Amino acid sequence: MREVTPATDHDRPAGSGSDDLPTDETALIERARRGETAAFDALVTLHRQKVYATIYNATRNEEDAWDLSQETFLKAWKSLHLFRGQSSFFTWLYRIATNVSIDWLRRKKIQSGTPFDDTILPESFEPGSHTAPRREATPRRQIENREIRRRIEAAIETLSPEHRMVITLRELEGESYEAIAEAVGCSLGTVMSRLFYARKKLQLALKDLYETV
Amino acid sequence: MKPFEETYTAWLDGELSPEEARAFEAGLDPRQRAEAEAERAATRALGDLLRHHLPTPPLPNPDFFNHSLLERIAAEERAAAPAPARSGSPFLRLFWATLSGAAVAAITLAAVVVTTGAPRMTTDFYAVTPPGEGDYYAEILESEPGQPTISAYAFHSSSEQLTVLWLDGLDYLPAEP
Repeated sequence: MREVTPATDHDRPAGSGSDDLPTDETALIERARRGETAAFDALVTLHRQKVYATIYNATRNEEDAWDLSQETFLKAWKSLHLFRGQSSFFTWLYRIATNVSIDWLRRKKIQSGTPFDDTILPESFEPGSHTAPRREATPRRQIENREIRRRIEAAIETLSPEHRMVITLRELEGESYEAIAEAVGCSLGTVMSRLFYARKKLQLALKDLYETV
Repeated sequence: MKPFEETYTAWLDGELSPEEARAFEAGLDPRQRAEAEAERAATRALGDLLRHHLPTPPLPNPDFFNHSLLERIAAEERAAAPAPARSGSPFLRLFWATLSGAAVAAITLAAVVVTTGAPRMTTDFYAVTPPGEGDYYAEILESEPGQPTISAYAFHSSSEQLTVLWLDGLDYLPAEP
């Protein structure tokens, strides 16, 4: 059983606070593995924004992303003894975050009962429709940008959880194939294949947008 | 050999080595090459569109995020901690009382029963001696306090160093011996 150190600076006794924490991540991990929550707190601070961004890009919802980020770090804390240092700590954390996100997307799909639509037809989004962006005055442009964003999010929503993770990791976070494969837990070939099909679906749904913007 | 979509995706993303890229492009006729170049431009445009319109917001309330997380960790650790042993637990008392009672009864019985010879009746119990020397199976005919609904049996095996007291008909286990 790990000894739990106090959760807040206010509660920390002298000598166990963040003041004497190492700045080296490896040392922080080692101390966190020994049950020192102050060290884990420092690790969370180092990686929370990236973890949140990964999950937010998959869920497109701030509250859900916040909760799932908490779940990710909680799982990381519980599994710290399993971290062998064979990959970087962030890669390991990244994998937990993507698994948490994919699980959440799958649960959401089951709860909503709506299957992922693989048949978005280009004619559903006519270039001349009111949702197509137009080069007009700035206030109107802002409104249109919101509409474009809504359309993009709707298109991403139709992707399977696995395809969604891969496309967001690649396009929004700029991750390499290798990093994506490691995070999602699949082969490089699978990453490339998923990217291929995810892009095809998005291009079909959003072609009018990037051709006119 | 990679499936086409894998190689094509890697080519679109510029992830092929120069040799692999040249080999891939050499396999395309002019029309296919033009289509592939258009596709590469479309892929880049799609990526630009996604990045431009889907910015990632900063984590809201980052300090509270850490605080909340550490609170949850502390709560889980407390919940997972084993409860301190309580010698006065009613359940344990009942268990030990029952066990003690059974042991006393079995020892008493073992002291009374003659373990050799043919089956026979006594005023207190009916005992049947099985083949093993020193073993017995007995039904207790009288007990204190007498309750006709309760039947008591005892089995003892000398070789196994085992005595079992078997009670039938109890509606409940008495709280105290």
